[in-house]
Amino acid sequence: MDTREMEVFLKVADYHSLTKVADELGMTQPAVSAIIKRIEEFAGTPLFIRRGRRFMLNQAGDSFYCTAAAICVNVNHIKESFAVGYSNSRELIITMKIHSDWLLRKLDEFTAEHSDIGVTIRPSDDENRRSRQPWISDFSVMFKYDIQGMENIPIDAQDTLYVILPIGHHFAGREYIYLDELQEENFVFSWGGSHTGYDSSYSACLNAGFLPKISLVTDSAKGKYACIQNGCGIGLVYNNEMAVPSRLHDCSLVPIRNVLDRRTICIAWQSGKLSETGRVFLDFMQK
Amino acid sequence: MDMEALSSFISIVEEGGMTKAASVLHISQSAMSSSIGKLEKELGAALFDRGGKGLQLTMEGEFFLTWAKRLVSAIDEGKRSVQEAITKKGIVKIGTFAENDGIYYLVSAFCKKYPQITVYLYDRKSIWADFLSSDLDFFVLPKNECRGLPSVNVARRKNLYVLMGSGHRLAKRALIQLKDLQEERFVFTASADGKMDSMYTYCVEHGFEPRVSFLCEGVESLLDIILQTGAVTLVYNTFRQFRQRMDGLSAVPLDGSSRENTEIVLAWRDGNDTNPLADIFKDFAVNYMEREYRR
Repeated sequence: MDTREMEVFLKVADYHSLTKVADELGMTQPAVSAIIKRIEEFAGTPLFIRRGRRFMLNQAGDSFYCTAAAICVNVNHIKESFAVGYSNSRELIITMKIHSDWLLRKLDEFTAEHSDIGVTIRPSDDENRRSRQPWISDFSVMFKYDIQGMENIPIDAQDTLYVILPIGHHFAGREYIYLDELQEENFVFSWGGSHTGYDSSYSACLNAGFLPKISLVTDSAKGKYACIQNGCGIGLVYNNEMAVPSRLHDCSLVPIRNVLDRRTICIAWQSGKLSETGRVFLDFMQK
Repeated sequence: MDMEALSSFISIVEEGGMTKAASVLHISQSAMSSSIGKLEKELGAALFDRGGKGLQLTMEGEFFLTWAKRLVSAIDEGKRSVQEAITKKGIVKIGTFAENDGIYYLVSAFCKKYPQITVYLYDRKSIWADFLSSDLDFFVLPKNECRGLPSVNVARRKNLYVLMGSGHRLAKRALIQLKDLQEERFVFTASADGKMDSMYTYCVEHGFEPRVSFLCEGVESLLDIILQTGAVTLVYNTFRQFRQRMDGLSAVPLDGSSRENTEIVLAWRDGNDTNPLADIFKDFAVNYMEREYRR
């Protein structure tokens, strides 16, 4: 099974058509069909169902898509590394589903102590199926409630909420504030993985008894802060990702009283599948 | 990049040499040598230090070894996920478009037997005009509305009952006539598009204009209204099992309504479909209903 064949499979899944893929890749349709057959043999089960002329992924196909995408993306990464001559033999890969300032400071200590290990930080999965890579990293940083059967150790907690106010805002000088005092404000949120679609500070507003008015939603923290600085609205940020917002010009951070959520942040890994660098890191963390 | 080459590479490192690795993996040494050569060409770097004694990994080889292990592990994990996807894990969606509480018993029995399969039960009789284009796997509806889809019988509508709170003045009767309900306040359900439920039509067809005090969209409110007001409604016999396991409700047969005789069926789309779990549910439902009818 070659990654070139997996790429063909991914294209057929995306385009729902053998002919389109054949045209694009300059292959014959029977050649594409043969590749799909080989992939299905490799996976051990049919991966597509035919709806007329369209090839749709079935449930097994959906699952295999993630695997194939992860393999292809990582093989490209490997080739890139070789092409630019980066082949640091000891690489630690961490997926940050949840940001943790504390962990980054720890990683700083770790890389100082182990100068031969390079740390790659992967962002969390996004909606794009192609970047769903649940297992090609050594560790994931996530909320404890999200860990499904993986081994984990707690490293941080999300327990204090702050509001980011542009300077000149009438609440900017306060020592602390209650969330419902902010109900008439316009908010800037990020997209988050929770069931509300927004980051978890949105639910804190609901719990405080109001539906926040939203002026902007963005998928980058940087975008969120920049827009707040430019007067787009106010924002909320938890204690585990304060490094950037606490240094913003023209913004002040006021802690919010009475927000009772506390979520444990853990670092998790698949038991029995830890690489050598992973083990070194775990030993370091457990000191 | 060839995935088998990754396994070869890992094996060579673990076994300490190509000869042993080739025999462990049951491939010829020349085939193995050529696949490693292809790999090195693809990466543009030597993975092994070929000078000197024994097989030493280069720095690039060390880097690649970690990755090779990760990729092979990912493939194994992927194959396992695929197996999981085709066995007993996932979602079955059922929409009910006809009142029949037998479906709860069928679904409960199924969930007990297959706890890893999640059933989504859509119990609201919303507009179902085009349920065929929805992503439901199964539909519960009257047989005459199922447009020839394959199906299995799950219940039979035989007659109507007047449903009321158990403190209602008519609650102890053995039989009720429509005309006895002249002064009663009724509650009926109406769908989102304003279509009144067929109980109202039944009344009108039998020359009776019910006094409608409450209209609700959905069965939940219906029970609440009956329990907390003096309103009454009409239901088919298919509502029997649930109300019998609940206090506070009484159902009295409606005289003259036994000409009703419709099958309620569980229907599904014919042909190849994306959800392999649907077959599991279908087989279960067919067997379950066979046992039910034998009783």
